[in-house]
This record gives sequence, C-alpha cells and structure tokens, in this order.
Amino acid sequence: MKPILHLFYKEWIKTRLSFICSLLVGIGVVFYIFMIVENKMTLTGAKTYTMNVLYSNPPIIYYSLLRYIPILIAICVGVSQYMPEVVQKRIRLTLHLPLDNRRLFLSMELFGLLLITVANVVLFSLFYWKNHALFPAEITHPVEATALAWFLAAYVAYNYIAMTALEPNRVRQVVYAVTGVVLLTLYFHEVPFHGAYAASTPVLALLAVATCPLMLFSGFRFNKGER
Amino acid sequence: MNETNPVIECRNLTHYYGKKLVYENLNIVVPEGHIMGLLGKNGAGKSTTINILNGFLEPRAGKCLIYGEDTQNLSPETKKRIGYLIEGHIQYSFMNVHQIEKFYSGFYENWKRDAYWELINRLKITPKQHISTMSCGQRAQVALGLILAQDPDLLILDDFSLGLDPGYRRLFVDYMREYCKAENKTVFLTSHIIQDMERLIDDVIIMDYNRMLVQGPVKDFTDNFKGFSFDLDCADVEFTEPEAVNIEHINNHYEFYTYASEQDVKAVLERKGVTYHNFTRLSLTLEDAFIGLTGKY
Repeated sequence: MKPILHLFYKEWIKTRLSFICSLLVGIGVVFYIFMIVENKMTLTGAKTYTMNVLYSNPPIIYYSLLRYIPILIAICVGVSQYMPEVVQKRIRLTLHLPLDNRRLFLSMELFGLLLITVANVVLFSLFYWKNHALFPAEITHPVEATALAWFLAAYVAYNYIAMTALEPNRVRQVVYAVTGVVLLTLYFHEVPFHGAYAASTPVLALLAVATCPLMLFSGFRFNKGER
Repeated sequence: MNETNPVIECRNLTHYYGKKLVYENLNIVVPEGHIMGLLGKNGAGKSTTINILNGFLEPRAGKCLIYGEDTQNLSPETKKRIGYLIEGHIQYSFMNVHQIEKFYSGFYENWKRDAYWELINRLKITPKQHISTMSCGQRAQVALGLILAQDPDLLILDDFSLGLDPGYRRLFVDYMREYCKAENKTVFLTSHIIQDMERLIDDVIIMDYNRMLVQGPVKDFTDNFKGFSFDLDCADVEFTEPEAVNIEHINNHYEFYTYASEQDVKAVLERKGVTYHNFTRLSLTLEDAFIGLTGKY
C-alpha cells in the first residue's frame, strides 16, 4: 500500500494546482447560476419564474453554464497528470518503479478518476442543494437527470486524454482524440426539455465505465516500444 | 565478486525499426561487479539496447535477462535492484529536491536517505528548489543522489555525461567509480564522451551499424588494437589486406589501424612495394582506438 500512496503523492503534486483552480471555478459557476436564478425570482416573483422554467417553450435552461464544467475539470486533471509524464518520455521513470506495470497504470488512472469523482460529488451536491432550495421536485428531478450526463462525460474525457497522451504513435493519437470528441458529443445534446435523455443515462454511464481500460492499451503499447 | 554470475545476459538479440536492421544476433554478458561501457556512433543501437534492457522496447527476436528474468517482464523485486539514469538526467522536474526524495523513498525498503542528503547538501540549493530550475549539473547530482539512496545492485546509465561540463563529468565519474567498486555494483553505461568512460569502465562493447565490433576488457582492447602512422610517396594506395582494420589518410599521410604487430604492418607495406617514411606507432587512448576502429564517418 505504501508505494501506491507515494505514487498518489506524485500525481497530487502534478495535478493539485489545476484541480483546485478548476474546482473553484466550478463552485463559482454553480453559485453564479443560482445567483442569477435568485435575482430573476426577486424580479419576477418566485412563482412566476418557476412557472416559466416549467412551461416556457423553448425551455429556460437556467443551469446551462454547468454543461462544460465537469469536462473542464477532467481536462485540467488529465492534461496536468499526463503531460509531464510524456514530455521527454518521463513515463520511463514511472515504469521503472518497482511495481507491476499494470498496477502502475491502473493506480495512476484511479487517482485521476478519484479527483474527478471528488469534483463531481462536490459540484453535484452543491447544485442539488441549491436546486432543491429554490425549485420543486417537478423541476429538480429532471434537471438533475439531464446534468448527470455532463458529469459522466468527465470520466470519458479523462480516459480518452490518458489513452491519447500515452499512445506513442502520432497518427493513433489523432484517431483516439477524434474518436473521443465524437463519443463525447453523445453527452452534450441540446436540451429540448428538462429531463431530456434521462432514459439514456444508464447507457451513458456504462459507456463511461467501458472507457476506463483504454489507457492500459496505450500504456502497454508504450511499454513495448511501439512506434 | 562472482565473475561467473552474469547480471545482464542478452541472447541473439535482433531488432529492426520497420525494415531497417539495427542489429542481428547480438550477445552481451555483463558479469557481477563489472562496469561495462557500450560505445557506438549515433544510430549504432546504444539507446535501443538500453531501452530493451529496461523493458521499454520489445526486441524482434532474442531476449535479455537481468538477474535471470526476462527484461520484458521484470518483477518488482528485480526492478528494486536496478538503478536507472535516463539520458540527460531527466527527472520529475515538477518536484522539488525534498519532494522527489520523499516520493522515491516509499518504493524501497532500504532507502538511504542520508546518502541523498549528503550529496545534495554539497550543492548550493535549498530543499524547496524545483528540479526544473536547476542546471544540468545540479540535476545530475540529484539523480546521482537518488541512485545512491536506492543503493541498487545494478546501475544502467544512459549517456550519463550528456549536458555536463568537464568538472561535473569528472566529479560524476570519480564518485561513481569509487561507489561501484567499494560496494561491488554492476554497471552498464553509455556515453558520447569516451574520455570519461576510460576512467570508469572495466569492459567495453563497441558497436557499429548492425554489428558488434568488440566485447571484452578495455585493457585487452587498448593493448591489442594498434595504430601506426606513416607517409607514402603516393596518396592513392588501397589496403584490402585482413590486417587493415581501418585506414585514414590525408594526402600521403596514412594512419593504419590494426590488431596486427608492427612487423606485420611493415610486411604489408613491403608486399605492396610502396616506400614509407616516418613510420611511428601511435599512442592510443580509448577514444583514439574507438575512432580508429569505427572510422571518423
């Protein structure tokens, strides 16, 4: 266990600044969203604004600013975690550590996924708390179901960044990056009504889980010296 | 010291990059307690060999063993016994001097913290200084300190002299030699600066494109490989005799590199019927012998 904790220590040194900054931005965005909501409720009356949110066409997506925040955090974590490793092929230092290579890669990934989970839990809890304080369940439940897809997208983005960064072949890197972007579009459809795509959340969750082993593939290709 | 116990053993190593042959059926043995230097021109396959030894490259054929384990699947226990210095003293530049020591200490049960700090304290740097702000010489000291703290049985040093000024190179070589001999460490290293290697290594491997030219004790090589210089009356003499390993000439001044004796070389010249003057045996350093063997181009 001690080696894994020390590996996490290295990962934390790399990622802490970008993680903390991006999380603070995310927290700020959540507060900003509800500051605007509260302001509009004050101006138009809480009941009127709530009715507008429920029945306007097109709908008032008051939480749209949240859409790209989880993925922004995932990009910050992924880039700050893997870029210092691939510059000058420093990953060789990591692979030389006295740990099984599969365990090494999985531990690095686990650390990144943990950070993203922490960020997601913090942001989602904050969003949930403010949302429930201001809106009835008819709004909060579908809104949270829609936002959940954006939080799941963070895992997909992170896994694709890891896979792309560790891939030794440039052409494959481009292919992976393009595939990742295409896959991510599934998580960012337009929202025609609150709760849109809620039914597809389990599929999106499974897809996010399915991307987890991808970085092992690139890691082993790097380890074999593929070009 | 157990000379019959090979620490590194490469058997029939063959590798290609695409269709380009790097080398074929290369065999390397590094016995315990020996310091082996790998010399070769750029592109001769030094880095390829280092990468295969570290398990970062899978050879097309053949295999390398370290402590009897295939380098493609080294166990954590064997990795603990290997210290690795990457070309250019690359380290985690996002860490500072204190953090990097703390990080590595968690992986090795017998971590010698004092050995690291003793070396670091000689530098005019603070524990909070980031590695990214250090000179190459300072980074080399940090890398060396980490290796001393790890106290590995085998050290693999890839182009350890790259970027170091003469003073740091000398310091590094002398420190390493003293440490390895006192502690019976085995070392496998490459360097572009052969003068440094001469002070450090016991055995040498010289590689040329696609093949190995020499493997054995440095002393045997420098004793047996000779260079002679002489002037001929003409500047277009071709030497195809087996005694002529390599010939360099500028106008009518020739340098004849060979494993043959002085008498044999003179006999070659006499058989060719050329008149020679100023026949002299050259005093060869390891660098001179390397260039004499592999040529300047």
